[in-house]
Amino acid sequence: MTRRTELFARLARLDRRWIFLALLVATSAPFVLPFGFAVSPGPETLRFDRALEKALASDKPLLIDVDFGPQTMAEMEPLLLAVMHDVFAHRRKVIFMTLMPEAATPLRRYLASMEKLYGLKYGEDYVFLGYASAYAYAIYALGTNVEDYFKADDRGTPVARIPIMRGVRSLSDVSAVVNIASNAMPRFWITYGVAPFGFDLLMACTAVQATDYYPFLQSGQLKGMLAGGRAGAELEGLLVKRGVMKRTGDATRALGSQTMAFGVIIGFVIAGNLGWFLGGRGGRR
Amino acid sequence: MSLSADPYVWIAAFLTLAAFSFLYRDNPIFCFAEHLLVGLSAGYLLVTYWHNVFWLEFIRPLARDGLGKHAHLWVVVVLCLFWAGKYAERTRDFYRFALAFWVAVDLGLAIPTTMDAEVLRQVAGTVGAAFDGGGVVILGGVVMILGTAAALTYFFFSAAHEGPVGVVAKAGTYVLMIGFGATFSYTILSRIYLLVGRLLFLLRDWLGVVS
Repeated sequence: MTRRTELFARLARLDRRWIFLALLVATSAPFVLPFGFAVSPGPETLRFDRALEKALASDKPLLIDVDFGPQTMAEMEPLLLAVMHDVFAHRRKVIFMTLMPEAATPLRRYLASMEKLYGLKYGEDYVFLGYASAYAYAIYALGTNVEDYFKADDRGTPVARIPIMRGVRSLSDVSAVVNIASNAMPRFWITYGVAPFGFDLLMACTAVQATDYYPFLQSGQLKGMLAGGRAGAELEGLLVKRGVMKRTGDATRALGSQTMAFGVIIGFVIAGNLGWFLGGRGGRR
Repeated sequence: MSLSADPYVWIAAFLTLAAFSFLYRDNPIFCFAEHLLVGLSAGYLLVTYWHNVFWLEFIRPLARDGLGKHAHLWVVVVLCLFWAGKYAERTRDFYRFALAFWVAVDLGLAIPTTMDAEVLRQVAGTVGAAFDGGGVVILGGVVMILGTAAALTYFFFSAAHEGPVGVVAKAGTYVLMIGFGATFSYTILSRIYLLVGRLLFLLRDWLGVVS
């Protein structure tokens, strides 16, 4: 084995802990170094933004279904917060609900902070209907009669006595449905909601889910989609530009780490392949 | 910004580092964190389901309005109890009844809507896209139609994958691989985001070195 072949073989045998260390350094560096990463909104984010603006121009309340738990909070929280800022800055009425039990607790916390920030009044500016079990039936029931399913909101107040719910009999009485989910709920909204009742559906999801939902975006069954943290950063940029948010949030902040991490991963993929092909194909373990 | 004085933040930071320690090698601190997570997750879900499902949807309505107004809830409770029948041979028929009920309702709801949402509208969206826009959009639409046809051919097993059919099926595998590649890169994107979320917590909420 020549000296060069041995070098490449050692590259292919590189201890994975060096890769983890390089990733740690690459993802941490942008937080402490004084440079930023610019992002311009992509076509999907612009489409989501236009669809949301159209929904916010309506007098009808918006329905936001939040379906993510602690395990995907890092990616989903900035998306939800950006949408919340956009909606509440427009002073639009919003009905919140969840189809995932573990989403209810964090959602109550987000709503409390938004109530304080925008001086919102519960029941008039927004309401949280709480957790709806049996998602398929819940969506189908919402399409026919909200009160058939939700008798009371999260605080136990009968739906009929909540001011924001007056005039909301079914999904045809909301301007659009926004589903912010890290699970399969958007697919259920499309199947059990959009197909039979035909309302505007927008969604925000983790990047992992994105490829599952592009066909629905292309077919028009979804009016807009935010796919993962990058889309969150793009939306934050748009909202800052429009004066809705004072400064960008965690999605934009994480973008530098994403970029650096991808650079490191691509570098190691190239190095690994060089090691494999030029290192005698025997260096790998 | 300074080091956090919140004990809960310190506990979370310790557990985050304990989880990360597995990247170096398996160790007792990681095992402790792992077992704690499993136990806490089970407990958290139990309490969450108790409060958000059993309490809010069963006990509270019964306590508020009495038994008569929500008599239908007892049907659901009985069906739930039937599910538990699977654990004993003598009561397994009850479980089958609950299962049959569930399957019947679910299929009745799913078949027409799934056919509409995931087949008919997708076909319409695929075919219609090629003629809806300028030159680049039309080219993209044509690629999509040909790609869809090639991928479907790969899964068509009534004809041998030889000759022209074999060529199209082979092209279909390339389309599928491009799709898997896109999905994989999106997956990495999401996983890195989870790492970034924890790092941001350590650097900002715990150590206070980031504003």
